Formats: sequence, C-alpha cells, structure tokens
Amino acid sequence: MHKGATADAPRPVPSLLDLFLGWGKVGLMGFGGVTPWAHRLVVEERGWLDAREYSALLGICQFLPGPNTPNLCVVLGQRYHGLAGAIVSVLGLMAAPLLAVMAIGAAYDYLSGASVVRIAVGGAASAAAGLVFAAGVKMARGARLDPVQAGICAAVFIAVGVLRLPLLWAVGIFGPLSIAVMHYRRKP
Amino acid sequence: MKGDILLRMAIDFSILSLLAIGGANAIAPEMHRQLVDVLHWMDDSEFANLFALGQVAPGPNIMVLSLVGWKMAGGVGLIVATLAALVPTCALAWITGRLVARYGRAAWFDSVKAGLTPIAIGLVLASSLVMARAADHDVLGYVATVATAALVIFTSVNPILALGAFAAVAALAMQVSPGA
Repeated sequence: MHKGATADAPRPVPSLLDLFLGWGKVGLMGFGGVTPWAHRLVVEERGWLDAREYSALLGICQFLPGPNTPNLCVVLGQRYHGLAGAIVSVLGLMAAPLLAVMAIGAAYDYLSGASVVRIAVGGAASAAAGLVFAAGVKMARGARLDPVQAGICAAVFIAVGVLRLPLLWAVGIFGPLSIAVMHYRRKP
Repeated sequence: MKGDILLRMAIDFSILSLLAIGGANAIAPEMHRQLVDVLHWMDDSEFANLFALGQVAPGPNIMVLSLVGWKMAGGVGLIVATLAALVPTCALAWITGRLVARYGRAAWFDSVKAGLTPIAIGLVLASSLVMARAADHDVLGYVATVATAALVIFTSVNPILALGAFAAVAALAMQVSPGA
C-alpha cells in the first residue's frame, strides 16, 4: 500500500498537542502562503502521511471552496481525533497569524500617515498582483486543461475579471455547467 | 454603525469564502466589488495595499479578510471576519472528509474536480487582473507586476523577496522624485 522504506512502519498517530504545535509552526512559517510548509510538516517532518496520500488529500481540499490549508487541517485532524482534532488543528494554524495580522494592521494604521509607507506598500501591492498571476499560471501548467476546460477558464476570467460580474453568478452558472460537461464527457 | 459593519462582514465574508474556489487568491474581484464599489469602505489603493499585506503576513492568505475586519472594527472585527471566513468552509470540509472516509472517492468526485479546476484557474487569473488595476498607477507599478510574475514563473526565488524589493524601489523612487 505505502511506498518506500516506511512500508511496514506503523504511521505515527499525532496527539492533540502534536497537531496544535505542528500546525502552529506552519502558521508561523507561512509567509506568502502556507501550502509548501504544510507539505513539509505532514510528509517530511512528521510522516503523518506519505507523499501520495498527501497529494490525494490536498486534491480534495483544493477543490473545496475556501482556504486550502485550513480545509486540510480539518480533514486530517478529523481522521485522528474527530471534532477536537479538527478544531485544535485550525486553532494552531491560525493562532500566530492572527496575532501577526493585528500587529501588521496596527503598524500600518500608525505608519500609513507617512506617505512613504503607503507608497512602499503600494509597490508591494503591484508585485503581489504579479504573484497572484504567477500562481494562476502555475495552476494552469499543472492542470493540463483540454480545449473545453480552457474555454471555461477563459469564460470565467472574462466574466469575473473583465466584466466584473458578481462571483456568486459566475460560480453559480459556470460551476454546475462545467461539472456537468466533465461528467458527461467522462462517461464511456 | 459598528453593529451594521460586523453583521455585513459576517454575512459577506461567509458567502465570499464559500465561493472561493481556488482559495484566497481567487477572491480579489469579489472583495474589490464589495469593499470598494458596493460598500465604499475603502478606495483602490487601500484595497490593493491590504491585499498585499495579507500576502506578506504569515499564515494562510485568507487572513486578508481578518485584516479587513481589524481595519473596519478592531479586535471584534478581526474575530468576526476570521470566523466568517473559516467556520462555513471548515464545516463543508468536515462533511466532505466524513463522506470520503466512509465511501472513498466516488466517481462523481473526479467530475467535480475536473469541472472546478478551470474555474479555479480562471478566478485566480481574474484576481490578478483586478489587483493589478487597483494597484498599478504608473510605469513602476506595471514593471513590478510583470517582473514579479516572470520571477515566480521562471525561477524559484521566494516571492516575498520580490514584494520587499519593489516596496523598497517604490519608496526610493518617491524620495528621488517627490513630485511624481
């Protein structure tokens, strides 16, 4: 079932404290997003899952709505300790970032009176737009869209990015449509 | 007034995160539409700056909603915004986790994944367009956007370095030409 040297070794079962501290570390490290750090924790450091199990689980969480890593925390925490495991994992992940956000928000409020700070953050904001674009390109690269999927992708981009339709409409119309098309095409 | 803001955030951010197919990077267009165009809580630059701070802050990028909560209503706002962003989606993840554990990955799961993949990608690309429009006011802004995109696509440099570098460049450029 499992690959590699750990094939016969029993998987460690993390305690609630392990979950809290492990995800707490991920929350602290994840400047610019936590996804790579989550992989490091779960697969490389603690060996809770092997790489294949992890990517299967992430595959589920990436297509659930909402933030990917908290979703992953919930599903993984649930496996070990039910509701308590899920809650403790999410709390661990969010504790440090929430404090950091308060500090960053307060500092920005305090400093943004100085125009140089506003301008500097504005430079970072322009760069952040490029960062998000790159994230989209990387997703597209990994996904290998077929022509129909590429068309749906373009339609969503135009509807939301150019025409600025409300997200609820775009997801409400294109979501079921796209799932139905894929389901129909996959049938033998 | 503050009660209104809290209620608005609780409702809007819950819906927003439930629509966030592709994660936090997918929601810039809807956040911008709500916060800037509909509610008039902030202008373009302020929105772009908050989104950038959300990218730089440690933790999941969905923290941008917590940051908006903090900005609009202090500590209570932070808590309300964070709960709204997390509780509904985590509940959905909980249910999905149970279903997968009990029934395994059913055939419909692959259809859902194949159907939602192009939507997630389209939304993230749309996000980048909306952010660029909100953030880029001059040549330096366009350069920062394109250069960071190229850097992240073609190299494995930590993107936070690019954000820091362009923050410094922007600040320096202002010092050199205060009128520009």
